[in-house]
Amino acid sequence: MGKLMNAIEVKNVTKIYPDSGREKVTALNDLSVSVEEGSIFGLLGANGAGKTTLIKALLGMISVNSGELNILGKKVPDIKIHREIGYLPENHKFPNYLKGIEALYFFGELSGMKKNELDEPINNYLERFKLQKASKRKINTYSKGMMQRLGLIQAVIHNPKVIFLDEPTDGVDPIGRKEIRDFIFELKNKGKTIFINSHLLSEVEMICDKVAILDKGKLVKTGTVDDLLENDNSFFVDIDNSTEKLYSIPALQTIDYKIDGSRIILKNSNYETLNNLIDILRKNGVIVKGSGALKVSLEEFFIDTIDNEEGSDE
Amino acid sequence: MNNIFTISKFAVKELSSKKIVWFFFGISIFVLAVLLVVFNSFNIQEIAPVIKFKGRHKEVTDIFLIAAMFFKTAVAMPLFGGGLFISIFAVSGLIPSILEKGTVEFFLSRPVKRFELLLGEFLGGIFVIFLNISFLVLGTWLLVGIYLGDWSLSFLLIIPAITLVFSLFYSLIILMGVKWQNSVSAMMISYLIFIAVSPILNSKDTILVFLDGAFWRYLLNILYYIVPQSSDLAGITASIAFSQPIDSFLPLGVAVLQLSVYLYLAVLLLKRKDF
Repeated sequence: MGKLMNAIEVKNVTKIYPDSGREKVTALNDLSVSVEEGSIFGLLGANGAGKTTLIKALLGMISVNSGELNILGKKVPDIKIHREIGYLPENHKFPNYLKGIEALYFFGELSGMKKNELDEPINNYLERFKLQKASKRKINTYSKGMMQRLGLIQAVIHNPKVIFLDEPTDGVDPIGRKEIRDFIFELKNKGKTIFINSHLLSEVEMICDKVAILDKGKLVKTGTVDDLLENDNSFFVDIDNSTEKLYSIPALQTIDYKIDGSRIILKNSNYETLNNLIDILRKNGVIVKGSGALKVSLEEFFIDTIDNEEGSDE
Repeated sequence: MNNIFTISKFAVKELSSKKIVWFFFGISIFVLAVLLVVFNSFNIQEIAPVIKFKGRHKEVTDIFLIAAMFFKTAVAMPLFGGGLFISIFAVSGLIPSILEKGTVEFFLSRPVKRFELLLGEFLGGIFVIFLNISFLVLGTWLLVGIYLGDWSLSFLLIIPAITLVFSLFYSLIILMGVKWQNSVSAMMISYLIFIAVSPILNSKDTILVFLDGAFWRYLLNILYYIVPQSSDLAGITASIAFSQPIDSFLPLGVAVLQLSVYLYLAVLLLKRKDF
């Protein structure tokens, strides 16, 4: 199989917002990142980290001071490539005098589709997101969740290859979030490239193939979710409830471990020690239920990473 | 081209959702209804013998012509003032609303060039106001023709004349809308120019009698060619309504030039803007 092409490439991009009376703000600082075609990419960062700025730079909505941006091999800005792009902006505002269905036809036509070509996808998506009835009402009567689903439809109505979703589950209830997650997976299965900005780290952890963490416009970490969350130096061994027994095993005195419920945790350790521990446990009649490298949650990893960065700045 | 047409449709839809546009249309219907009542209430043929102009009786045909001119002027001049006032109010929010954070992204993420966005909004706004002006002027022309027998086509020229003046102010509103994204500022400055600045600049020769000096002459002349000259254009509209010859077409030429410059600057500003 050939190597996957990058759908999105950001090379050494710097964006400095001009002096607005106080001081210049470096929103993107020599940032380089790439997104493989057909993958789901999550961009994480605290407020003001530069996430939305990066999307807007890729969409040609803001100019950059230096660097190069490419989408599907075309250098940004290139208005023609926008035919292949879908975008759900954060805190979007549909013109509220339009009905839902009017907005979809309007933005679909602006994406280069003819009215009759839009009939089928609009009907299908409205049915998919249970908005058929609501689509005949003015948008100003919609709930936040309905607005978000309508926003998602407008982003994909023209069948784009690359889809940018800025906080796609913002304000959506858990059932709606699951619906959106499933839809994102469907898009991926159709070969679409999806670029997500989100504060909901548990969501990102569930759906993204690769993530990047931005802090003050700089790329702090990037990699697959599994790689980032796998802590090379920490391991766990799940045993039955006989933890008291452990204190009576002399061989364990040589191993530095902690007990968390029925789990034994080895920090700053290695696979040799893990195997050694399992051997000792078995020899002493302790039932081992499972073991492996300890993974942290994306949230823990994100907070640790940002804290380290803040620390290194001081 | 398709994008401009689609965005124009969008602007028409937005304007048709505004009460102020329907208020304009309602006033036009009211004016035409009043004309209809007046024309049906008085028989000029019967009252002509008792009407005197400067102490002398006039021919019935002359009285018909004078009445036609009176009614046409009674519609044209308030339409120039009040109609434009309402129209400026109606369109002042179009650009700020489309450039609002959260909305502009829907447009700019699509294969839409920024100038298409402005041109679409511009043409859509002109179309709606053109329809409103045409409705009132055509209605008046028809009623005056039917009841007073004056079918002179020159009166219809006030449709493009007033539409041009509106377009000029609308292009300025677009420029200010792009710059400040604030409908109130754009509207207030337009009103200020329409009501005060233009009439003052129109009297620049009189003002220069009191403010003698090269600096003032230079300043007023510059302003005269930068600021829309609603007073000069009102004069042309009045000449059309009165079926009088137009003294100079220069204000029309200046208006077209100003309109083009305002739009060009708006496009330049929009192209450079970060969203």
